[in-house]
Amino acid sequence: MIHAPSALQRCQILLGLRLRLLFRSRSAKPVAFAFTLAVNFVLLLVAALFAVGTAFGVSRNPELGDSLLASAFGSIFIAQCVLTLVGMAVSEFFDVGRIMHLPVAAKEVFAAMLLAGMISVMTPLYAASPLGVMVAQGGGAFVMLGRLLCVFAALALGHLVSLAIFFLMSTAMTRRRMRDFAVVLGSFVGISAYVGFRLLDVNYIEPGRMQELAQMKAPAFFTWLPTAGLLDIWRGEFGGLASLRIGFTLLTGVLAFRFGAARLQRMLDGEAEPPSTAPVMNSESVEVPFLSPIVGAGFLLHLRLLWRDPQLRMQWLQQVVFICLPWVFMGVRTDGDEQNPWFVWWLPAMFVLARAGFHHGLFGADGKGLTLLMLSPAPRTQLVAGRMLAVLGMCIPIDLVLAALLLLLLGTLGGDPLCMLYAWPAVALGVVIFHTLAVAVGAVFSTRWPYPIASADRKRAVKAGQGQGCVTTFVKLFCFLPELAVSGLLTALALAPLMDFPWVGRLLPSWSFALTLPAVLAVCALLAVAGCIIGARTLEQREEQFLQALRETGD
Amino acid sequence: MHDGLAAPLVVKTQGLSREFGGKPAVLPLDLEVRAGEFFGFLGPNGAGKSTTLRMLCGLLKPTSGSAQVLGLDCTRETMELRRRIGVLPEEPALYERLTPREMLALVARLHGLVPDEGRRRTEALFELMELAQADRSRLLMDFSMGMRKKVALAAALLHGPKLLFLDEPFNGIDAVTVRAIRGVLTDAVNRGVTVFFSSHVLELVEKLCTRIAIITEGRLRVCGTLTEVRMQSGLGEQASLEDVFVHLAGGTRTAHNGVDFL
Repeated sequence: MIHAPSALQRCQILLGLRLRLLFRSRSAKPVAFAFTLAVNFVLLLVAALFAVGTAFGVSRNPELGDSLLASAFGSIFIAQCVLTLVGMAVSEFFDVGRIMHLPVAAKEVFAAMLLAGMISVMTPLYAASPLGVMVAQGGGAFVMLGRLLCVFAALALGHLVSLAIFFLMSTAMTRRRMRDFAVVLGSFVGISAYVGFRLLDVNYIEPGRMQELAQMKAPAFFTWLPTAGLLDIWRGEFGGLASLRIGFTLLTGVLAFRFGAARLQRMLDGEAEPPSTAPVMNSESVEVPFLSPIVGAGFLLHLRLLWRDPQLRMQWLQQVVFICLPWVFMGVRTDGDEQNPWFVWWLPAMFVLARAGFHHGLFGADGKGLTLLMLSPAPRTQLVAGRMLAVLGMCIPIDLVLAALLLLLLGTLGGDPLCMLYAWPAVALGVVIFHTLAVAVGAVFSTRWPYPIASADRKRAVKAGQGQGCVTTFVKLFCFLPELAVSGLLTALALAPLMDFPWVGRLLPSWSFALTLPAVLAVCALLAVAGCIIGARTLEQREEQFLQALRETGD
Repeated sequence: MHDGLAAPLVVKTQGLSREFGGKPAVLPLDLEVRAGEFFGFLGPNGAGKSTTLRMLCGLLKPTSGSAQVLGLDCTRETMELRRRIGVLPEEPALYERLTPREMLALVARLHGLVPDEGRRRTEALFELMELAQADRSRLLMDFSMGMRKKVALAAALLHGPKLLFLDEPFNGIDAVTVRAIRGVLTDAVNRGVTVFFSSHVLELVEKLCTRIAIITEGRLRVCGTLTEVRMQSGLGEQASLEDVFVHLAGGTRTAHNGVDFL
């Protein structure tokens, strides 16, 4: 006999499924599991400290409570909306296609997603501040319970609205565009948070000004966010304008649920299933000026692979944003100090480190197509050269622009936007030298220790497209240091006639720049050619292992 | 088209074997295929078909023995071999983030065809395989398995190979596509191309192939025309290829007592 589960049971089943998958995806490897556990522990610790600190501060200064609550509720709502949206846009975890044929209704799936989303280590972090206020303000058990519910309602409301927006976007745009959107939004959030922190650091974190910071009023528009009604319930205000805000909160919740579930139902019914990718600009041209036919074809192929894979494209932006910015701001004084030229070295070095996944994975984006490449009679030297040029072609122009923007930003923080731009030519030269050497080393790495493609020696089965993130870059940093040192020396040699170095001053007369520049560029080119030849020879020797690895990993 | 034993050998293996981690995947194999043949290479899953094909294509070095394809040593003259053969792997080896025409343009370039000639051949093949109307701006990843197989076959044929290695070309595709691919292959054989292919679709093998080999557990069990294969298996002239295959592969029908709910 078959007993059809009730809607609640089906919701429970889906919730259990999601949590189980979530847990298993994070505990696949002991090291990764330990790392995740440690990060979660630190986050919980931060949440606890934050809650205790807030409770202590509010109990000493009770009038801070209202301002803190308004900020906290508004921030929770915005953070839940934005971060959940970014997370869901780049994740394919809850794939509607896998459950379309099962007898589940959209409302049940939607409710399960909402509940599952609430079970996160970020939840205590979001809730810490209002919970601290709740403890400090005290009250009876009934009041405390009501306020606790208000906190969870704020969290749920943010999540609910983000889910509704996500499903609206999912039915209106392709997965590819969703990811592009997530890249832009995520980067914007990251930069805003960091710049905000820096401005706070410069302007407010000084002895005696913490009190001033705590007394800052929440932005006025927070009053009209959907969470504002919860703040009224918290305070026990139900009349006049408060009732309007409470009604708005309830209405937002109900509408978000109904609207989100309806959009999801359309996806489940197959009415709004978007194609997995957007149309692309078809170009059958394989001709690249100044390049031989096969090098040109390889160059264009690699550019297309890198640009058309949303995850790889996302990495171009995010790696630079999240790796370079902190180093830049920590390492450079923001007053346009012309006596401190070190950023001419470490700015290109940081760019190269951020891109190491691409330099070291010249054949990482190929997937199944690599078999076709191996089957072709094209000379391997030309295949490797095409890859190297593609990576350089994609890295150098964007990094030159980024370098200019960063110098502008540094100048702006120092009060004169243009004061740092004098250094751009030197940084640009560094970018070219560092990238050229990095790709030369990368050609050898990509074939000797291919990553993300598995090698037989390392017995590492990693699917193409995965694992090109910051962790890989960080691990490879140690292999990268000698190459960075050589790049640094060559940059110094090229710039020696033009720059005053700390402690030693100017090393060569200005006119010798006409000699050092071409000499250094020639050395870089020679090293790149050497890397290409060694990489090609290694590729020839390891073709079988490459292909075997592709079979073993299912790619 | 060449006739019988008069045609030159295009594939010749002697004691060709391959082990993986000490486990034999293909036991010493002696095989001969002549020009213009439609050669079917059959075997159950894990029998060593794909491994043999990969060795013949120069993608996998044998543990022992030798293989000559189109007179070229498969382990030493791999580049020249790749210029002359066309390969359709079981999983189409395509760059899925290229459009079909971009894919073919790339293959043409890698084989040294000038762009105009590459385009001409691409259009001709697409016309033949009913791909000409395919959306030019869609990536291969958005196409069906059948369409992708057809693109992969077009890629294998683009440079005009004299020998085609096809690994499960009819796997996972619909009857219409099967018929289209079958037509292309038959035309190719009629023009003197040799086709060496593995498949589980025994009816097609029976209809298409001039000679058949069956391999089980890495060992060549029978090889010859359908009639010769029937005789070698000891099942007599009335036996179908499926009977021969199941007999050699050791398949048996068992009672399914545990699924009484069906």
